[in-house]
Amino acid sequence: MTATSETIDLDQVDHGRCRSWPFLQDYCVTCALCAGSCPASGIDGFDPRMLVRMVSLGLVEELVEARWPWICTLCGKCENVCPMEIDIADLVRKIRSLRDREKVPGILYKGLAAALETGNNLRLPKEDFIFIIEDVAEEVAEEPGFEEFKAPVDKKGANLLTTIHNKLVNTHTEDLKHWWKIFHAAQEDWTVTSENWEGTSWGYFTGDDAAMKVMAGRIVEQMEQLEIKNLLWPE
Amino acid sequence: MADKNVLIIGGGTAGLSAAVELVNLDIHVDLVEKSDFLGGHAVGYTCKATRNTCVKCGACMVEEKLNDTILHPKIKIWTGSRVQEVSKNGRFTAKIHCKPKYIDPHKCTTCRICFDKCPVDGAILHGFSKSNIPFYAINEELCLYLKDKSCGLCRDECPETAINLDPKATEYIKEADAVLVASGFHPFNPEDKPYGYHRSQNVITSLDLERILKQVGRVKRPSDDTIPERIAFIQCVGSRDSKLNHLWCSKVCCGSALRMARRIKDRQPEIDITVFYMDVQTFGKDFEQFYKDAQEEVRMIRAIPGDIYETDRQKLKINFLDNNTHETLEEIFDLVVLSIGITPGKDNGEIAELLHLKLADSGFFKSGAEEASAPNTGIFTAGTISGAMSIPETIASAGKSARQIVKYFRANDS
Amino acid sequence: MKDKTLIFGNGPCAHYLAEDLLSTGADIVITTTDKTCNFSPSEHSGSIEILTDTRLVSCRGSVGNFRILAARNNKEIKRTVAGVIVAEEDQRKSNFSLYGLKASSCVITLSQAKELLLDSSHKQSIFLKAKKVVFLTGLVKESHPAITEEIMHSALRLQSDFNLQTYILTANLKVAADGLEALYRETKEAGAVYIKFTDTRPEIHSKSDDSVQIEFVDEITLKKFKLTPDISVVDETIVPSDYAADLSRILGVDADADGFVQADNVHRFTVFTNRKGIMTAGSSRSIQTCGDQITDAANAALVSAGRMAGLQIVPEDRAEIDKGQCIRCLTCYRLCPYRAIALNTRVVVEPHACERCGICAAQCPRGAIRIKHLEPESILNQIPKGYNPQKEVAFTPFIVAFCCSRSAVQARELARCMGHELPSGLKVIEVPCSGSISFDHIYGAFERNADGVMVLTCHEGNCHSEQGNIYAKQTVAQIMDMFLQIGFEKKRLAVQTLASNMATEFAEMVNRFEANIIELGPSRLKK
Repeated sequence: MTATSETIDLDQVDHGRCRSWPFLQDYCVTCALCAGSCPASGIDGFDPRMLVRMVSLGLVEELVEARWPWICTLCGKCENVCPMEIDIADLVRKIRSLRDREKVPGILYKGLAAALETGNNLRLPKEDFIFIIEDVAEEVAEEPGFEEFKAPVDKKGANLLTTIHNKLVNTHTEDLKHWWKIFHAAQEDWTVTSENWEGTSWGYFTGDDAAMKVMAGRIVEQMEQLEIKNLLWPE
Repeated sequence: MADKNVLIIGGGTAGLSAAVELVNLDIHVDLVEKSDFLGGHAVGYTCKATRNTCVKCGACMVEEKLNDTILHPKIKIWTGSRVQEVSKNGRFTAKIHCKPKYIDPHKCTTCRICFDKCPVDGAILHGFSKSNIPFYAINEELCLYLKDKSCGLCRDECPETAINLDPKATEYIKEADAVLVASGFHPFNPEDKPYGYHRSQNVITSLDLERILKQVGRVKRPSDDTIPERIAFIQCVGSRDSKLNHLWCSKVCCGSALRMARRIKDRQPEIDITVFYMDVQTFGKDFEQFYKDAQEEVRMIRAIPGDIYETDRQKLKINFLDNNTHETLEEIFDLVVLSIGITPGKDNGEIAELLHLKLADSGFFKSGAEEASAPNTGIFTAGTISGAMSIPETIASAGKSARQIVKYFRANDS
Repeated sequence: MKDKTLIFGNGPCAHYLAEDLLSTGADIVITTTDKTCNFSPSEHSGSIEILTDTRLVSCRGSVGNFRILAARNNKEIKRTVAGVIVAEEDQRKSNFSLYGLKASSCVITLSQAKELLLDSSHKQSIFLKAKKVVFLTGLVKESHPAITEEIMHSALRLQSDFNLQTYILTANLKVAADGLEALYRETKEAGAVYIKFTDTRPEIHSKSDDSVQIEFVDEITLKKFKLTPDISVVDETIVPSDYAADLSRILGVDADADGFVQADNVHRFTVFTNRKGIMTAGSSRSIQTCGDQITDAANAALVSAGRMAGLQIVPEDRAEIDKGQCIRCLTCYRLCPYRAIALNTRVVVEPHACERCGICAAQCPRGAIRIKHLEPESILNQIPKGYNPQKEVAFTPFIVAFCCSRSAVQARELARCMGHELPSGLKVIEVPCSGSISFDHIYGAFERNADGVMVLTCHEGNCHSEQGNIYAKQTVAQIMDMFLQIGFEKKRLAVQTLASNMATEFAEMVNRFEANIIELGPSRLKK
């Protein structure tokens, strides 16, 4: 087993630093169920059990500075299996939130800034967005059985509002068709919005509660304006 | 104390042990067991002797208590029976509801014809001890005759005409001077764990494995009856789990798994066995040596697996953390054994209400310092209804309760 | 016979037991090597005598009539009692040397730590001045829940009341006792830090100024840590007291490998020993928690109370020594697992202690011992003369299996219930213990046309007579040697072990043996 070279003097470590955090990390019995379930475990050094342990011991600085806590996708499988009910994904967010925002990994930082300013991570202008949606909708309507298909945008009074992952209007536009066809076949009364349509909340992902609130708030506002009761947020 | 009578609810290790102690002191016993067979869970356990040497698991002791019980004239045995009402007016009066007796124990010769001829798998159950008399019983839930009278093979084929498929349930009123509750535990059902129990045939529980080893002697994969090359044991399933509100160690699973693993290696040395654990608990007086020897034969991994996926030929792919490299590995096994925990009996709530007893937060009956019932009520508890216990502990618990009953009788007589 | 019970011990279990017995009117004698005994029972109807500063010298007789000789200050004390219970306390051996440490002002045992925490005087000050306390347990030899419980309670106290940081360094954390998992959580809530080791161990150094430095790699974070605790609390190994070992020897009671006064044998559950009338309870029989000791006391009281009924009638079917044949070689005396042989002017069997295992009869060089219904002739007469299961066409081996009543006989019954196919030429002969099998039995079976003989015994360590199966194995080995010498196939004889609840094993064994005999063909000894 290889270990880091310098020896940490436990006399200098304050184990009580994070005791007031609400994530129950001190209850950990090191069973490794989290790591056994985690799809990202082992990638670039990510280890959920190690993260919990370091928080419990109070070794927070190193976690905040390290890259590996940013590998986690926040899928929550760890929380699902943890027998001690530790909120491991929330713990990851907390660690991320402790970093200065400028030190947040590049793409996430830029994307979040874009979302806060423009309503989506790509800074995709409204007209371009609508064009892409209509373009792909036309392609769907050319397929047999979908002649009637239309992709509703900003439809007031719809039953279901759905957000969109930015890659679906960028590099993976084909993937829009899959769920559109399902909605059509289920005769769902759905819509997307022309603004603030971004589903990938890097406010959530980077542990930025304020940004997350803004993005969520915008979506809620739109639901109120368009009088839509239900939200589908696949991210 | 020949004029005294005790009603024992539960015919498992604790109930049987207590019955034997009480009749030794001339006290009459009514032993009421809800299933068709006495012996509880432990009667289905395999002997785990390895290299011709006893490992003190205690399974044969349950057998001994059971044999002593059925032979004794002062013990009246009620199988397929439940206690439904209990009232007290000086003595206890209990209503015992008995399932219909489909197979007459006086006529049955254990010829096995009914069991072999029955067309529905599991519609006829069998016992685990020669003292389960009769050795077979009709499973009311699966029997075709009881469903729609569409089959009567067992009754027609029985050479002793011992089977009657139309009897009625019966009820009896019995009086007792004391009641002992020994209704046992419920083995954790791991269906909701991500291990595929009841979805993958080759994922079984430790209880399933006990029965396979006891009845067949060799371990085989349930899916295709072949011998597994690699077996994984996963410990602490359903125990040490605050999410399930099971914040306790079930105490016996480490011993059970390691003993069974070594016993398998003894008969089938070519099988590779891996045990995934958290902390190995101490069991038996020679634990230090036993554990050392076990580690030579069995691979111990101190990590509990997260997921199990079924692969082709119904093998199991297990994901787990490798403590040495801190990587999450995938390995394929042929058979997975889940070491399930001891959890509160399903009837605990009903029994608590029936007898005005208190349950602890865990769902077990209170015991020890905080007695389940107020002192001097004449109601006593024994065995795993109070929490996880090994077989020796259960027998000791029953002895303690028997002593308490004796003292209660003496105190109330004077 | 006076039903008096003698209790060895002065600890919690002995006191619970005494209290329990007195409450139902029993007469008891408590004896201890301690100089004082502060046991004061509540109101009771029995009688109690307390003998302090007293050591056992000898114990003669058997259940119902033990003649005790003890000594105090060189004065003899004699008592006659119906039963004896050993309820001595355990002792703690410190484990300093296991960790490379020595006792010092900052390296103490768990017992010392407990004592200090209970003591409200100035002695607690070592904790008042400390900031970090380390508990070391289970890192060399495995720990035990009884120890973990004490550590956790101490750590909880130190964290909450003294505000220090505790570390518990262990290998396998033992939580297999009631309430320990919850207590484990409580200590963590209070701030205790647990460091568990699997394949590595911490390096523990004792410095010249007695301070302790610990360095280790934490297996979870892979970081190297250094720790200099102000106080190191080292676990202890719980062992039987020295006096318990003496008692075991004097009383002729089998002890286990660690010296606890009860053999490691399931037949001794709960509080029994190899000697009827002598029981062992509490910490003298195993490592126990408080709850265990109370349970043991109740079980010992239960057995005591039921004792007299069984002694009313003197059994007539016990071993009897023919005084005309006996040459006082003392073989039976040495072999009897139940110590049922007394050396009076003649060597006699004490009928209440005899369990009819038959070992003495099998091993007596003069054949001077007989047990009613268990003489070789009685046993062998179960084989009808001229019996021959030979079928017309194929050779059907006649196999005689001498089966121990506690294991093989029962396994055979279960095999029948489960529908296992057994050899049609199999004749099972029940014996109370395989130790009763002698050359007479085996040769007698071959003489009565057996083609093969099996001796089926309990597993080693599972024999009620402790050694019966070992003697059986030795006897069979000797006979096989003899067979080799005279040119008789030794494969016609087999000795195997099995358990009462294993029908499959029984079926496998007898079927495999039958196959061997078929290969060998009919025995040349057949008439």
